[in-house]
Amino acid sequence: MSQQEMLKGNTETLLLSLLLLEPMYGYQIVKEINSRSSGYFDFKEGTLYPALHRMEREGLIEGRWQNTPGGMRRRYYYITLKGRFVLSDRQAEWQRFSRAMNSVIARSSVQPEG
Amino acid sequence: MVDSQKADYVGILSRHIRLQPGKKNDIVLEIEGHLEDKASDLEERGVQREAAKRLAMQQMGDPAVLARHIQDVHTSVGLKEVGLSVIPHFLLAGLVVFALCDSILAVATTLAVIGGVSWLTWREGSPSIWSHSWLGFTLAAPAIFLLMLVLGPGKSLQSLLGVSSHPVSFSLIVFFWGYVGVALWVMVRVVQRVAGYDWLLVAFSGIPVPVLTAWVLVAQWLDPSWKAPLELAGLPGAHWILVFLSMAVTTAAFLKFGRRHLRVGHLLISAAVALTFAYSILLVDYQPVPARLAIAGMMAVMLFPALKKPLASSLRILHNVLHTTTHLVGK
Repeated sequence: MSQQEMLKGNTETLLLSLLLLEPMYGYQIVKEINSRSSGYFDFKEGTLYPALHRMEREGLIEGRWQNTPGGMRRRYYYITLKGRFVLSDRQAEWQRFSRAMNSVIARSSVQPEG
Repeated sequence: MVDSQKADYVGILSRHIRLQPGKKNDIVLEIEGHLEDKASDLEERGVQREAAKRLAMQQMGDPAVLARHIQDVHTSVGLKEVGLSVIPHFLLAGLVVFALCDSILAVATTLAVIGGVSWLTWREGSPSIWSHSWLGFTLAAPAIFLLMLVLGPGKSLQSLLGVSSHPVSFSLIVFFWGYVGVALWVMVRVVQRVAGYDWLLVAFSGIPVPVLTAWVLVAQWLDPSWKAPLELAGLPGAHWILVFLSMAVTTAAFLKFGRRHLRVGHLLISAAVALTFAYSILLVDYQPVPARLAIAGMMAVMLFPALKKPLASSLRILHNVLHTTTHLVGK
């Protein structure tokens, strides 16, 4: 499975995890994901807004326009109570999944040929 | 140069998003802000201003594709909304199932509920997509009224004006005029609010209009005194139940099709089926040709703005095919 496919399946979890820390606006989210994953996650910017808007329609997050000290208006996204519950479920599921994966992967290692 | 490219980018984005103006402006402003943030960030990292702006647009991707993805998110519907959208079809099917079509009270209550829900959802100014199917049934009233005017001062209009030789219930006359008033008010609100950004939804609302119009015209023709407000117009009750269930399925399918071109195709087929059905009812008796023309005209007015672009594309493709064929034959 490619990195993009794995990211696609976990976009909501990533976004909810970030917004749990603090409300953020679109570009800030992209930068945070990039910085926290040390550049591993190459988040396609065009996919961010459809994902954020879908999550907002599902009631997981809420967008609010705010004026920044620099005079710019930005739309900050806040995690909702429903979003917190969903994130908690996803995190638990991810822990179970990664433990199971690790326990299988750790017992086998591929030796490079040659 | 880059500024004009950015204006083009935002223009394409804006053109391809067919949502309520407030929502659309928010989306465009948000994407524009992102592009500015990104360009400033790149500039701080040493990229030239012009190149930074260009790179920001490139990384955001094709504006038409982005707009389509955002549009799909905002126009997709869940099962709850689909359920709400098909309630009016079941209400009318219920009238037939429980043999209540000859009860003025039952018919008036059903129409009042449908008209009331339409009014409530449209009064707030940000109607949900499911309310468009309720709207279709509400719009049938002014459509029928218009048709009666087109057909001249015949028996139908005389009945509703209370000047016919057939005695008509006073309460029915009061209800009819009240309903036409509410429906006209809703229609004006719809045209003001929706037609400006997405005629497809208005066209979708029009699907029940030909069927209901034909039904009422034939029913009234068979019973000019409106004693039974909705006679079954020469068709067995089971047929009418099937008609309403088919319209419910059509409505659900339209809403569940996320992609716009699928909705347009679906709407074209549904409109053709609805018109064919309406004509088949009108042929049962001797309803005049103007009735058929007027129904077709109403549908054309409602569908044309939504289908203008796909029709233009189809004509362009046809023209290209003919041109290529002529060219090949000429060789």
